Amino acid sequence: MSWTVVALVLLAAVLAPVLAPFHPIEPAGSDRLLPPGAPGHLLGTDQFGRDVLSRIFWGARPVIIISLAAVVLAVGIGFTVGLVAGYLGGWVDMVLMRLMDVVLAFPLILLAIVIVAALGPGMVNVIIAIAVSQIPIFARLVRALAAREARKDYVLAAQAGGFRNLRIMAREIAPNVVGPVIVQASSTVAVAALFSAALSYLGLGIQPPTPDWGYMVKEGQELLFLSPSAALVPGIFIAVFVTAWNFIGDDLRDVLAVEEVR
Amino acid sequence: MGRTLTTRLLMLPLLLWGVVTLVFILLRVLPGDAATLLTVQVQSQTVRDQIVAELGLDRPLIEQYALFLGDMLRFDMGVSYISGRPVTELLWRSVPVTVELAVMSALIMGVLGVSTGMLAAAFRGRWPDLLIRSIATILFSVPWFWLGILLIVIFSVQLGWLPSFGRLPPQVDYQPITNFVVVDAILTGRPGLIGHWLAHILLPALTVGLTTAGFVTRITRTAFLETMIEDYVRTARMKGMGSWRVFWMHVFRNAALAIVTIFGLMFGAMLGGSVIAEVVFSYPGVGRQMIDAIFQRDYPVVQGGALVVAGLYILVNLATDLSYALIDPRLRAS
Repeated sequence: MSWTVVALVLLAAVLAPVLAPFHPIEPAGSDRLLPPGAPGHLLGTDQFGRDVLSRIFWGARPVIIISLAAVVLAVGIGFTVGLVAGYLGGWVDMVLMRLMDVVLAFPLILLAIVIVAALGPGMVNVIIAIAVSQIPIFARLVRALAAREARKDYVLAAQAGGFRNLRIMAREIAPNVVGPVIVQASSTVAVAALFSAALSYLGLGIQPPTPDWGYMVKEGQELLFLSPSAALVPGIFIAVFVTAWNFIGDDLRDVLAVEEVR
Repeated sequence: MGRTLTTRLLMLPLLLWGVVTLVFILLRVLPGDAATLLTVQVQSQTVRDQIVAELGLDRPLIEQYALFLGDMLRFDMGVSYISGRPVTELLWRSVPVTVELAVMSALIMGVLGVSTGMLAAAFRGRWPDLLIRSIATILFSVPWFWLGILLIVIFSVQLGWLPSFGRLPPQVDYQPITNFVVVDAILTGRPGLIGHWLAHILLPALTVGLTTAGFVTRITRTAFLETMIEDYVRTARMKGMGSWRVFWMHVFRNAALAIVTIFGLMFGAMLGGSVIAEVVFSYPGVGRQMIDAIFQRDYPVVQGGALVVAGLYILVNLATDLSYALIDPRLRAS
């Protein structure tokens, strides 16, 4: 079910040029603010007369690209930091983890906001901002797991066998800590999608006229008394997409038998 | 709990230094930082030079950093470019508003989250458990801002019961003393203020409280399930202790520990949620102030806001650790 939702959103994003009945930026006609269910416009039109359904199809693109790219980046950096800190221990561990503490001293969304404010809006900057805010979560998780693995016999054997630390980290420890990271990553996709929508809503993320679900909610909010659906419809898509990822995270947790990480 | 309270306290100055440095890097060192953008916007060369000199932007970075640290030690956060007022004064007005909102949200989150979590644990595996867990997952999957708008549509647009923006009605004359409405209402003997304040805070607090309650539901459920199978609970049962007594004396107290641990973390989510909710409801807290400041390139205000929110978050986490030590006798000893 959850995978189906994610697959459908992915399909909508990829096939947006084929599926969308109208242009996402050009007005579809002279009818503005048509309610959902209006003939020819399944989800109605916005204040510029643009077809909402078409904008939803196109708007799936930024949310997917941003949430997946941000998580890949956060996992990549967080995994490396955690692995090195957990395996080597000592002052390397100390320095790296205190660095992570500093990042975690900010409410994560606030940190993302300040980073985007500094870098400026745009897709790449939003990806960086969200990734940075999520790195410590992976770093801490992998560090705890790696530190536990590092004391096990197979690692000691590898050390006794004279293998270099880099090889031991990459070939021995990493495969054994990957499970919980996959679970965490799938829930983080949900968080990243929420952050991306929130940044767009604040006007700091994807800039108009590019269709984006978060920004569509913002535009709709100004017309709440005229047409509540303009703000509510795109939000439902965000909620469904995020919910799907959260359920996927839960499923994976059961399948991979990962204990709850606190 | 790897580190003890003492090490945490010793780490505090280091952490604060790290936070200040991170903000410095974000807002001054990165290309496209607010300060540079501001000077680009100003057309007149003399005014630009003046701003650059005022900010110390003409000095080497390391010197700027030293000056910045000095200012921070004196709690000098500079002056807003837009209003010309000291940032500390602006924060003095906006921070209590956010604190009110966060506390109110925490109440909603705590009551809802703990009660539904206990209920789910009691019905483990049966339909009320599944229903509660599904709702919890959906609640933390809903975008904060969208839930806020949904509440506005229902309670302000459709039903017309509650106001959709602001902290108090514009016609109400409110002269802040502490800037906490409830405290001021008591100090000035105007209980009527509290009603207005409650009507305005309810929707934003619900927005933040509901979206964060789902996490508390989960943690509470797991905590209770884990405690209920502990040996000491079984022993108490075997001794013939009544189920209510076992519940309060053994299960509840120990499960509460696990819930308290995450409160610090949840407060961060609440502060973050407040930033968004304040924008949705035009609620005059520090989050909205920062977002406005970002668009006006009023970077001392952005910087001050980020530091104060982080400081608040660190404080609450410290208080959480302290209360944890108070509840858990094992930690008190160490």
